Amino acid sequence: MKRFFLFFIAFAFVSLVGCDDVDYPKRTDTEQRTDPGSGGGNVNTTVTKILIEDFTGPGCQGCPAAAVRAEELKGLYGDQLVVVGIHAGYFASPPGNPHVGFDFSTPDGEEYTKLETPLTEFPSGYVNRRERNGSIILKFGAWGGFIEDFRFEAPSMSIDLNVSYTDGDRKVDITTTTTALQDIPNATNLVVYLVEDNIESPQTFPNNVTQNDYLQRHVMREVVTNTWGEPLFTTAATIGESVDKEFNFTIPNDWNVDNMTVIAYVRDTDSEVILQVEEVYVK
Amino acid sequence: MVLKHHIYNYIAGISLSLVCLGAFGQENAPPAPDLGQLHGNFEITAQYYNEDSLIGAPDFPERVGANAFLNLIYVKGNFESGVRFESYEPVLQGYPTNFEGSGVGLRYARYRKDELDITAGHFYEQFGSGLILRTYEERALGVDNAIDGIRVKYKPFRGVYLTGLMGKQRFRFENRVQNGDGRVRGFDAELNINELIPSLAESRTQMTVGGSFVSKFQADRDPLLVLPENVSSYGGRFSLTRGKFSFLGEYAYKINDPSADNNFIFKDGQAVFVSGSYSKKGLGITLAAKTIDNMSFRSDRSETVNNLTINYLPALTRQHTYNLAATLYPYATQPTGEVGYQADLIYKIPKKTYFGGRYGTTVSINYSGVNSLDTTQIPENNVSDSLKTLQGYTTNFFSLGSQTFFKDFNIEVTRKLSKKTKITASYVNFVFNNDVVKLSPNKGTFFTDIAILDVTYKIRPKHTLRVEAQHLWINSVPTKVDSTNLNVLSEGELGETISAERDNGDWAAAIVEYTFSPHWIVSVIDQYNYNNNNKDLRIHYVTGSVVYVNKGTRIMLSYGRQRAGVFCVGGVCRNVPASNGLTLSLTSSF
Repeated sequence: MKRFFLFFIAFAFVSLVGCDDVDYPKRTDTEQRTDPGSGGGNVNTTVTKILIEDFTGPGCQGCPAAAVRAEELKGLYGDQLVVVGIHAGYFASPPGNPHVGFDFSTPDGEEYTKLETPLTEFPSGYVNRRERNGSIILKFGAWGGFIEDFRFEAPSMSIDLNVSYTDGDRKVDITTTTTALQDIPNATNLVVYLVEDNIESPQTFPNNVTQNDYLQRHVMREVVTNTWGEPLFTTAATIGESVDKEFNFTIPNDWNVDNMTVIAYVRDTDSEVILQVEEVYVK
Repeated sequence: MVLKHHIYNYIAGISLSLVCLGAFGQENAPPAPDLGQLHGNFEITAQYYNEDSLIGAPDFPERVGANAFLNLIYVKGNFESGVRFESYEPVLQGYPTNFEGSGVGLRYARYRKDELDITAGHFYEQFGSGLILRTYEERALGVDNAIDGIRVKYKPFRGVYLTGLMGKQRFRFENRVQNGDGRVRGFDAELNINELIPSLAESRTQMTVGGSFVSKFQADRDPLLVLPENVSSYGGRFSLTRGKFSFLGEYAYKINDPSADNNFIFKDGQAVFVSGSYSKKGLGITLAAKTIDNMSFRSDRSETVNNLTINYLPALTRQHTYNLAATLYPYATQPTGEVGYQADLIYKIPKKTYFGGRYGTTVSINYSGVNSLDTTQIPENNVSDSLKTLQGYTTNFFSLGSQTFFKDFNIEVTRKLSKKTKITASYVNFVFNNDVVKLSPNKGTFFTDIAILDVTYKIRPKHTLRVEAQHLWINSVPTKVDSTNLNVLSEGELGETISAERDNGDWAAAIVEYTFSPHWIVSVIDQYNYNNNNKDLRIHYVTGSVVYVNKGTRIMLSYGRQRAGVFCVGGVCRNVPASNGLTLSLTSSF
């Protein structure tokens, strides 16, 4: 009996030691962790870049907090991180989105919510569509820590993304050269998004409060390819192999070209993991 | 891999036991050795879905969803072992979607000898009222936060109950159970004073005291914040009973625990629960109060809704059973902060009196209210906070904030009119702050009045007819906010008014239920949203069902429409789609 009692005291002691009081919560080493890049019309990838797909909607109370977190991470990782806000699910369209005229959902975005198990909790996101604890669905608080888990991995693909735009006909021409930097065992597809940043729209906040001049960040406006992309390498790819692609799209008049970017990413069609991503301003 | 190995061993063990039982059953041999007992239960709910654009029931390409569970428990002497097979092929609509496939959802082995009780595998545990630890299964909501690990219970002395545990929590299901990220460690001690001190064994005063400690570990890889990897919480409690009086009290504290629930602030958390009651024959009075400040506690700080909760913050409001009162505006505890109070009175007016009537009359009156906690936000431009301590807000603990979250006044009178007829009349008044609790997309605080009449008539022995009629009236008032910082204002303060809507308007509901005991129950329920602001949505939600019960088996077949709803916890919401279809459910125990 005495033995067991001692065991319990030991057990209690083990439990009691677990206690971390944090006095200064903000990290002091949060200077940008990569070079911000030169910007402009041409980028060539050399690191594994990260795509956060932030599923959101104007009716979603908790979603602005996720958008803030994405921007904080963008401030930290610079061009290594690409963020896209995908308006989809219950809070993107009526009745979950009560702000009439501000429905930015797309059929493609709705398809992306069903990639694993249908998304019903918002905000949620995918980070390179990689699995954490068996699931690609990550709440925003987990995004940063998860990026740290793989951001130093050697890139398996590079995307050379070139974008040119003509004002007169509002036409955007997109060319990509995608090169395998390692042997890749599965087929890969290239997906291209057109994204508009800082769209002013009403947004519901906690307590059902509406902010009318909220800026929706990095809104996915169009999937230029089809939903799941154009085939790049239809089986495997060997190191050094590359594929060129061309796309064009006419931007509707009510989209603000000055705030638009093109995002191109390569998805592994077997594992669904995003192997590489790149983003360039339209203008 | 290890799990698989255990499962195979387990199945082999059970199969062997069954074979042995069969073999021994056929022999006329001397008394069989004790092979132990195998018992369990089975449950399946399957639904066939129709698309119904009128109520917004989406097209469900697979047509049929089904959730099924089989529990097997084997007991032999001091040894017990259990396994639960689960199947979601595919999961029912409205259930959390992170349940998929078929496989083992729970398995454990338990050994009890003398004062020692050891469990390895999954277990459910609760310390006190659960303010710092409660793991439980609520199958209807898809909640199951069982701990997968080791639990030891021990009674070193008479009246001393010790529990220690550690493990990971069940998170999701994809052909097998998958645990969450963090680890939970806990210890609880409860002293029963009357058992501990022999001279008090016969005392009229019964007293227990308890203390518990729970800590969770989750690695910190966050690039922006220094997150606490070990977050601890502790609590103390007492219960005292003397004659007709009893008192309960519990306090819990949690150190800094930045999480998605509190928007990653580093403030500590506290909770207090107190309750006093008096009861004698025909009379019961209970008064209770609680306050909660930043007490959401999960084993994964980024998780939301019902996922990976370690503790449980009980709602101090009446759980209604009548349809409109129970399903349209149920209140859920706001774990980030609230103050609640409740008074409950049950009085039985004696029979053969003027008011009591021939058979007596029971009157039950209940009042509860929940307000925001009185807090002061620390402005974002406060450099010492936003750059260093990230406390978020300060609070006057246990003082009522200006925002009403919920109020419920209800009175119920039950009276037996004759040997054949019993009647229950009920009135319920809710004040429901939908801007905070967010059950529907509409804005404002809803004021509802609900009247209910329930008549049970015994036609002849074994044949009973029950009829319910219910009506809900609704009004709403808007919330006022400060247009510069979007903070909610109290009455009297000047600010912008957010529009308010009468939600879905008034409702009427009727239920007719016929029971032919002991086997059959046939019922029809109609919820009619006849006063919806949108005339197209003035819809009858009708469901008819037939239930057959025989010994341990219950089969239910129902067909009808179910409303859409939104389910929210702490500002994060999950929508439950409307549905239209045929449901079959079967439960059986053996």
